[in-house]
Amino acid sequence: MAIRISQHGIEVSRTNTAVPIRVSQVVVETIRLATAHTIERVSQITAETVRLRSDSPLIRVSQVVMETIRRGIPSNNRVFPVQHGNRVWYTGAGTRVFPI
Amino acid sequence: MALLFLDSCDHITTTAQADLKTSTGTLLDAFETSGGRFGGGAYRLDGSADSIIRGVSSHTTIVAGGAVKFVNPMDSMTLFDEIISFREAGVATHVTVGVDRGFIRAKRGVGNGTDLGASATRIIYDTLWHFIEAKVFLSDTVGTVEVHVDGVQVLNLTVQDTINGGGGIVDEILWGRLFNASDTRWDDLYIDDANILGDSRIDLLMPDGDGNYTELGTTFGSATHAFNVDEIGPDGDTTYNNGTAVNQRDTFTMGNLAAITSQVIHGIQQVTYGKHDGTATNHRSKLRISAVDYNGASLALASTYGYHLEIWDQDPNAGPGAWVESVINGMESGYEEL
Repeated sequence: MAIRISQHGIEVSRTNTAVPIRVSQVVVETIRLATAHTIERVSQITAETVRLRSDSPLIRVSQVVMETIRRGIPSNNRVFPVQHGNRVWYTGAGTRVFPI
Repeated sequence: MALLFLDSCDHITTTAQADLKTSTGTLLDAFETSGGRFGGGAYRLDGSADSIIRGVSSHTTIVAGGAVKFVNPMDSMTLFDEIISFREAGVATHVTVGVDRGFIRAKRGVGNGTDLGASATRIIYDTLWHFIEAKVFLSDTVGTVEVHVDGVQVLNLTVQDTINGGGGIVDEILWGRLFNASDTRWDDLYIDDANILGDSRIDLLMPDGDGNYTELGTTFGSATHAFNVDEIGPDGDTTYNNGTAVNQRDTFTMGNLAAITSQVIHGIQQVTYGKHDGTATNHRSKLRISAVDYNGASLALASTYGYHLEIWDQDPNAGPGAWVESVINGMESGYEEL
């Protein structure tokens, strides 16, 4: 250890710097609300202000689809194989035959 | 005249989701994710109490339709079975349209009610999809019942007593099943307050990309808003867009309609599956056509997920006027938090 006096005062320094360290894990742990609250703003640490929008409307939308109803071909020209004892079949283009 | 309800049966996968969309609080229907009329899903009614029930506003004239297939042979069927019923919820069934050995028959009341008339020939056959539509006007003296099958009028009754007590209104439609043909499938359901639409189909369009507005949060899913709301069978809290402030909007580009010929487009229905997150909140559906926004009615969200429907009988950007395929293919669909 060495001691030096200067205009900044007394400085002490170690000359024996061979002190090893071992770092085995580095992680970050964050604490936060589990719900969908949004952190709107974090100010300087000295103010320590965290405002949550817990008073704002919150919605969740999980599916959006659109359904269209319309008339036309092929909705009215079904083609089917012969059914049950030749009771009915469709020949296409909207023609139906009922040889009962 | 206006559409009151559509169901393509193609964007849901479970009985619970089906009941959220159609039923009035009863779990009486099952759902199949395949085997629909043009692929996709269909309701399967095969239990003694199975039915599909949809409530609507009160009407004295109302039309209900849908595609039905009786999966099993009907040869042993001897009874009148309820196919479409026009009901006053909790009070009365005013008119029932049923299948009687392949004939279409109408009754005032239910199966043991007063016979009003039947089709001249056998119309309904098993294992085929038939599109059945029935229009009823309620009156004690001049009531009417009109039924079309596959686009053809098969029954037209006039000067009838079509009121079975109660208040003389219809505010609930029931789609039923054949008891002897135990597996009955329904697809492409609709309710209208005036018109029989003819042999029609209901096609589903899904989001395929983000549109002009991407204002809700995407904390719980993909950064692409559309990918959080595009599941066949909504995944609820797994992926969703979260709104955090009023007037936040999302709109999406949608897929295109399959080309068909000689088409007449009767209308579209926007479907939003959402909920509020603790504070009662409304939202509204939104269309964006040619860079112009059109808003649906303000609809309240519940604390649990539910379907919210907005019907557009006409293109609001055309006067309003009739829908055309190119407009539907080019417009954006979405919603706004209120």
